[in-house]
Amino acid sequence: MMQNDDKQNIILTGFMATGKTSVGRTLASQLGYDFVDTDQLIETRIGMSIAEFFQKKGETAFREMEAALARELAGRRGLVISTGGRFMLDGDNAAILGKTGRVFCLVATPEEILKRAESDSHVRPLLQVPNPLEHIVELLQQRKKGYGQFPQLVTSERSPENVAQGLAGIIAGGPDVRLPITAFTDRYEFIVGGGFLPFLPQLAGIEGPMAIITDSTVGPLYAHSCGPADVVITIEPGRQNKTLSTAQSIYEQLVDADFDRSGTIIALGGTVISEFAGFIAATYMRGVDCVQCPTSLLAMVDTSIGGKTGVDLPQGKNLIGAFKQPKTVIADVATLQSLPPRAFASGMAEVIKHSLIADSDLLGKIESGNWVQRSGEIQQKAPELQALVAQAIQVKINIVQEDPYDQGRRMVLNFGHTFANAIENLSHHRISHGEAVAMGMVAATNLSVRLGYCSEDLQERIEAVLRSADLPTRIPADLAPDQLFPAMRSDKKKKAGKLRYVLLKNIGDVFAADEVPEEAVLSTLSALKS
Amino acid sequence: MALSNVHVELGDRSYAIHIGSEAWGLLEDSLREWNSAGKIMMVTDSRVNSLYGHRIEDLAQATKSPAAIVVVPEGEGSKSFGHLEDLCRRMAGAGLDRSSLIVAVGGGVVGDLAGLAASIYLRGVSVVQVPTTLLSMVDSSTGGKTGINLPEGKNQVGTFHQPLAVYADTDVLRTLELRDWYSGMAEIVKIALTLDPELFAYLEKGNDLGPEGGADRQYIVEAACRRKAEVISIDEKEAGPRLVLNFGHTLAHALESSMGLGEVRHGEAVAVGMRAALSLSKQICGLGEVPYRRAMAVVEKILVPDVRYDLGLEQFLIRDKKRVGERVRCVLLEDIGRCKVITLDDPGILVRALSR
Repeated sequence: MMQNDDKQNIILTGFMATGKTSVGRTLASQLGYDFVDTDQLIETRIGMSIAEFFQKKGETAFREMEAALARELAGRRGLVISTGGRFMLDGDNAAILGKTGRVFCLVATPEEILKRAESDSHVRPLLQVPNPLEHIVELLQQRKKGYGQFPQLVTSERSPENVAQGLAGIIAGGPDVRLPITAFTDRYEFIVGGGFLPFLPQLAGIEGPMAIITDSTVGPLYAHSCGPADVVITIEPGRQNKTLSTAQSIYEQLVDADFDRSGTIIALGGTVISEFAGFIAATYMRGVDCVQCPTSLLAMVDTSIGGKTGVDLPQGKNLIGAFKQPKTVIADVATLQSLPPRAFASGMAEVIKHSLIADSDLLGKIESGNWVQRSGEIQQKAPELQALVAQAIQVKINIVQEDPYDQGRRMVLNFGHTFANAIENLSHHRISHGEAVAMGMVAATNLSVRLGYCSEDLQERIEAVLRSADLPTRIPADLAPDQLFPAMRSDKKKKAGKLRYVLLKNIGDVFAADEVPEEAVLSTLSALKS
Repeated sequence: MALSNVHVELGDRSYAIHIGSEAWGLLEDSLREWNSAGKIMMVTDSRVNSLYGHRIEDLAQATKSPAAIVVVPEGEGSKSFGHLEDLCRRMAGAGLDRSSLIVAVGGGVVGDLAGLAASIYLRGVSVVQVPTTLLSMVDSSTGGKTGINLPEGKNQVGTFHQPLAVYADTDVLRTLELRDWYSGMAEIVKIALTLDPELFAYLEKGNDLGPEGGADRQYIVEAACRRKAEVISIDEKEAGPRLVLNFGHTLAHALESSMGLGEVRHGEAVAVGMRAALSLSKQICGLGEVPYRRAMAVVEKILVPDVRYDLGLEQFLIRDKKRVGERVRCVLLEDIGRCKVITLDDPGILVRALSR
């Protein structure tokens, strides 16, 4: 993305009736910029309508006027420029104006374009045909590639004010952080930014068809921001839908949409969507590209990295799955605004875990900040949040890179999880994953203290940082040790029947232990009962 | 006679294809020596089970703890979502873990279904392919393609999951139905035409390419597997060179879809597709008159004598209706053993080539 220069121009392109003029005018007044509409400016200068000019002088003369105007406007800054429908499809115009700022393409459905065009007062010669809708579809198809070179903003069913506000947010966003990942032979980037979802197709280099898989909580908020998708598949939120029968219905929707191997699946949502859509991408037509677009803190710092995907069976979680490295991960921290406080805290548990297993500097940042989601606060410190998320992600990337197929080193990422999975399951998910991880990390630390690997001070420090993020540090009394311990034993991460624990010696120094006495574990479970 | 071994070079996922009489003996030995803690599950179909159930039972007993045996119904219908889900649940029910092994004993249906289940169960467990048809020996068992069908089309869901090893026992070909024999021969002819002039010369010499025609089974299976292995090791995921294996397949897939699954054998459709591709190769790809006639003569030999191919053009066009105006990639022949991938602006040209 280009640098955020105060006075750079904002150039809006797109098909007729996509809202260029109304959005541009609103945006200009919001930003305090001057507004220019190229069609209106040309009409004022020639003293007649463009339709009339076309008839009298021909199209070539008009395109020459546009080219001259492009050169003229390129000398100015601080403008919002709404361009004629084909203005930016000219390579020279696009090059010369593109250098002066950021270009956005407004898009709308053909039906919406027709509806708007019919209701406004402009004379649109392009629509004086027997079947205007078909004509619009045809023209959009012809110009698909031309418009596709710019970040796209969907304006259908949105007010100009709403679109302008979204644009203002994007323009104000900080620079992206790009974290390269090499997992086995796959190389890709994890890109962390603020408000850059509309750049998704460009950031991820998507050229073919795009299918968004999302849930009914996230989809309505962000699916329209991700550029024009060929199909948006929405499932009900929640883990209970992560089944093979949901998968089957998604495959069928993809086939119905003529989605083929050249397409890219966008996983837009939290951890369930991330794992589920990743699985679909791994198995549809023996594999299509997948872009992970996590919208929860937990998904950003945990599930979207590492290529693990999964579907549940009645016998257990994630029994079905595949390793599927994404083409790109696009984490937009602006989407965290809509995350409920409890879900935010749940994600912070994993951020804290990453700091404990590998990054004392990150732990310091968490300890010195206030990382609780209350109304509006997180939004105001977006750049700091972006940096924190990026740093937590880097920890996971480093570990996953060393062990792409989960055969050794990745085990440290399970710090707290032997306890947490049992707590989460036994509570029937009343306790969230992150809350269970918080309790589990305290338990793993307590066990480490008990076995002489670390000091009690360390446990206190860990409890303090968890509390500061609104996370629990004690196990609810109704989850008794004599129930929890058997639940832990049925964990799939056991090796040859033995329970495996990740223990802590110091911040950044963790290891896996298979031989832990049962009595010590039971004592820890008793000691941490609230 | 000693078994032939074809090596499939794929780095740390390389494996061997063991071909010949009594390859199952070698399989039994290796199951006996399988010393991973994980359980073993054998997957087969009702036809193979009725013919070789006792042998499969022996294999299952050879392992340290007796392997579970899952029998799916014979036929393409088993490559379905329902059977996939059922198989995965049985794997979970039997307590298979990440160190477990799936042994797929059967034709392409069993191999594709069990291969897919193995690739997605606990994010992937090992699979050994034990093909029992000529077609699966030379085609589906090697290369790692897995898949099931959706009502909308063949192999719409699947993965690439390379097996740990392949055991192709040529003795079991004795019980193959005639149409299945010719179906497998079609893929062998395809490989000969596109990649192996020597194998082609061998097939050309034989007057009868039927099951009783005296062709050296071990030789032809080995030669076909060797060529296929070479292609796979340079292009595992079908990004380019592996496309040559699709010779005759553009039309074959349309034919299979339009006639309904199971109505036409895959190899039968490929044979028809090869005739069209050869015809088109002569027209637009510079295939000379002599190699064209030689190739056609061999393809004619593998058309099942008693099956009439009553193929109306409209049957092809039904499927291709969706693709009008779309370009289709097609493999054509420049000479025997040399081919080229061509993008056809008008897929209908293939259908017309057939009617010539």
